[in-house]
Amino acid sequence: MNDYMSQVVDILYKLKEEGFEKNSINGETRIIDDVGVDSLEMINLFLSIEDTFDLEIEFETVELSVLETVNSLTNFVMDQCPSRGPGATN
Amino acid sequence: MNCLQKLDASSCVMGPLGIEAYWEKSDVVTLPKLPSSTGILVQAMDEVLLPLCWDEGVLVSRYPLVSDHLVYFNDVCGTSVTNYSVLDGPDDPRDDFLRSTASYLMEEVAAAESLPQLKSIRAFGVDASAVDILNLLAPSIPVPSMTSVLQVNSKSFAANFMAKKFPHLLRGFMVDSPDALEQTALSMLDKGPIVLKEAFGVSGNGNLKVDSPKRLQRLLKHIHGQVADGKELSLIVEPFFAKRLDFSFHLDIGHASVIDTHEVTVMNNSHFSYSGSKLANAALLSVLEEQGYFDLALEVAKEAFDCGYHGPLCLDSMMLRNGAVVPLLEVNARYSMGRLFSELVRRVSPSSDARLLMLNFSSAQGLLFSSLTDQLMSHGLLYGSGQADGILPLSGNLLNQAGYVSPSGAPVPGRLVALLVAPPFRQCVLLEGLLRALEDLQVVAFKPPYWPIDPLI
Repeated sequence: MNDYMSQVVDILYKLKEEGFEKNSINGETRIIDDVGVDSLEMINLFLSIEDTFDLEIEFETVELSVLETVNSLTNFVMDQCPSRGPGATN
Repeated sequence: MNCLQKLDASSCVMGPLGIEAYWEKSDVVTLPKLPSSTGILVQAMDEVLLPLCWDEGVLVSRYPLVSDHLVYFNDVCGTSVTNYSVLDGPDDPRDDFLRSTASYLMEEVAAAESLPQLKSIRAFGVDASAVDILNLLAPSIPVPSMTSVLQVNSKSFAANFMAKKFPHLLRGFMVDSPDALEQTALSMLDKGPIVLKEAFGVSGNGNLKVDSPKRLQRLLKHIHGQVADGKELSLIVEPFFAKRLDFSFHLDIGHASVIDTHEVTVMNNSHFSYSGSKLANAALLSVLEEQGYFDLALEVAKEAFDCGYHGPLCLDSMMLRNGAVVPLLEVNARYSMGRLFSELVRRVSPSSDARLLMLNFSSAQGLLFSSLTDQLMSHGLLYGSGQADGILPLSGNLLNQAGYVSPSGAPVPGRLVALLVAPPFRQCVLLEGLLRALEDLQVVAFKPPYWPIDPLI
């Protein structure tokens, strides 16, 4: 798990009020089906990503497919980070 | 048989359940939102209006009901409800249900020799097209003006009522400029997290929790851009209440000002998202009576009537962890899930031992109503199959939405709405059994809604 991914997991952990075992999460974990992030929590997830990575996200243009797995969300974050550029995790 | 013939001598109930989407304003500031993957579900939800239908009623819904579902409902409720839909289903290009139904009915009325004689007609809520339909089919029944519906349903109605009645109580504040928002929110953030609510927001979608000045500044940036584009700002800033329970009081305001009171229902809400209801128990009702809640609720209803509104009313309220009641958070000028639940309970479980469950799930192929009921029956869980308690599924089309892909590219979940008919200690057993039955169907349920153990719930 790289730094970006562990920070993404931390954000999910806080969002879900520590409602899952951190070490049960890996890149393939599904954010909606497994972690249980619902539609109303998603905006807070992205706001927390902004806070953590010092980003500004255009919410209306986000493709919800980035919320498929921890991997896809981490890739989204890495693509958004100016210092990192596009890249794959793991 | 055309629609008018079908409605003749009937009691008619009309959707859509998602009426609030018709009330959304385009010229007001909105909080940040992601594209929704569940909007398509709301369009399939009219089927849960069945409990509003009387014995030989007609449900006019956005999509045709699943026939197995309708047969099952009539069987367990002892009714002969039929269904009418102008649209063919999710792929019908005429996507505006109310406007399509209104224009279809107008054509039928123009060609008909006489109007149908309806026993009664009730709409979940009204918009301009619904008003046209009601005036066309039942011209003698008064319909509230859209201005009054929107005024009463706005969150500012509740905020203003509370400000007038309880100026010193912890409550929400209306703000109409970015400066007022910043000032009010910062002063409240000193004491803890806050919630921002769009005055005209749809259900929980226009609510956002803010827990730091940094988060507030980010939202202000989002809002400033919209204000610069000429949009009107109308938000409620509310403390993030330390909640013990959410509850609703259901009423009907007659057009001659007579107010009928119905049940109080307790809601299971998670992160502003509704997941079930049960009837308030005697202990909670007694606490509410002691705190003068019901007298205040009647005052709210009278004020709504004075604004020109009549029809169904749902008052959303909250009890805090310290036992204090926040008597009014929101007013819904329409029917509500809690009211549908209480109408159904009255029919199938007069002893009130039941609760409503709303559960989203993922499934690659969707789920057929008949597969669900077969599975529940094989687990001995289906209500009505020769047993006094069990699970009464209220959704058919909603189950089968799973597997669709929303316009935003996200997979759409399925949604099970069901009544768990059993004494409280058995309801958890039914829920566990349901989750096992769903697992056997390769269905993954999201966050099963368990109720907290509390003597007032």
